Amino acid sequence: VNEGMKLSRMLLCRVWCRLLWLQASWNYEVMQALGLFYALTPALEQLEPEGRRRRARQWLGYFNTHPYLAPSVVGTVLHLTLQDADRGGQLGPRQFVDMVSAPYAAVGDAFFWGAWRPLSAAAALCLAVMGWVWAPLAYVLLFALPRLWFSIGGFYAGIRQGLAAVQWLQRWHLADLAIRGKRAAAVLLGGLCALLMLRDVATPGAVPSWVLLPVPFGILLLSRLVRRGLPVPLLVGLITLVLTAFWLWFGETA
Amino acid sequence: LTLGEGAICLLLSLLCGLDRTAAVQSMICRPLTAAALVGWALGLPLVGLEIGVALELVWLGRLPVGAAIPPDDTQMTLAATVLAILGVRQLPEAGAVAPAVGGLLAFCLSFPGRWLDHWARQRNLRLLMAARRAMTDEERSLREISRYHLRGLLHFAGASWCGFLLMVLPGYAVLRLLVGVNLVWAEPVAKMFLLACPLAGMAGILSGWGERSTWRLFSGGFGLVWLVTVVWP
Repeated sequence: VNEGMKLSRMLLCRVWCRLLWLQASWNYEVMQALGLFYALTPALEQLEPEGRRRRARQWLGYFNTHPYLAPSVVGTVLHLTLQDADRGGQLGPRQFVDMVSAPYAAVGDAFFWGAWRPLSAAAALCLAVMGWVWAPLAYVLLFALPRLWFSIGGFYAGIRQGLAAVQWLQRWHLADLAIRGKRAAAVLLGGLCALLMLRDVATPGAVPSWVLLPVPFGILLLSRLVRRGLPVPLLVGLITLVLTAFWLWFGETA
Repeated sequence: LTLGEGAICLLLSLLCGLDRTAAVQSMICRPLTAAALVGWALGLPLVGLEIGVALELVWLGRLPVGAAIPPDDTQMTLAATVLAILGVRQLPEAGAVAPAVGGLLAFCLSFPGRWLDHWARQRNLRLLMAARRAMTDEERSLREISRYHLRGLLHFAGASWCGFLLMVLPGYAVLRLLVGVNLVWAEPVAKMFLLACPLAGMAGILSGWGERSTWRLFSGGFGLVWLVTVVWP
């Protein structure tokens, strides 16, 4: 069916660039499916006219994965679509997508949103609090590193290795990296908390620095309140009141 | 704001709003980056940085997983920065309070952001239906059908602009009411509000992680910085 299909570098670049807009038509029914269809269109147009529309229609079903790991899925889809013509592949591209999109989403969410983003944010915020005005740029660049690696590398691995791209991704142990990333982020957040408190509360002559030592206990207590359902805006109000009272009281005493 | 500054703000609202979900996702939509961009564009980068530091962590613990939509901290930050800068310009006698006033106003007015995001995603469903209908029409090419996808950008752009303006316009009206009001008394509250935001954000992030080990690491980081800063400055 796909004998006429050619995956030129230009075409692959177009598909990858189109994946940057994967979520432009995100909706509650099929989530990113229309975006996947949009990304695959240049490749689908290379198919023989006969059966092209039938093959294209299957991409309007449900699709949802992590946007940064979607290139890896799409790379394998392109590989399998070609393989289908050459050798009559056993696992179809649609079956592959249905099989991996949820696990990829889970691992991508845990690593990128759950660990790397807080870690990058905490690092950039520490730099900003220390007075480094380029901290926002550092944030974007720091976050972009693994994103580009998995986006470009995953796409390339998918095209070159097909189903073995799953092993390429497994090799990175993203779930373990996510746990380590969260731990590192927790340390940085603690450091950031100390920097903020020392900068804004421990005014020389008013609030002595040792008074701040129980702050981590306070944060633990607050995190328990959030877990029990206290909305963050209310928490902001509560902390503002407590800190203001504390600061004014110490100021008066001093 | 001059016309040019207003146009820049709307452009940044659009770019950051699209970056949030619909396009690229390069993290320029994050509060720290978005606020710094607006601050830099309006000539007060440090005010932008201050707002960004305050708001970055507030909703960071809310993950955009599956169909879950976290609160729109992007437009909230952009509006907070614009209002803070307007506050610095209009309330010169209460310059230190202005960033907190901007942040507080945007915080209070941010609730429509999520509805608008929800609205954009609902509207996108129509695009899917249209694409499916077009697929049955043999006359329509795949390229033509795939373009329905890009129309979703308009929905997200509309949601971004509406969210931004729904915060900035009423916020500006409140700022006008505050002209001439002595706000110096509110300085300690304003300072603590800007500190409370990241602390609440930290509590929100830690609440989603394992408690004991995370808290030990958090305390370790806190203690280490405290020691380095206080004991061996």
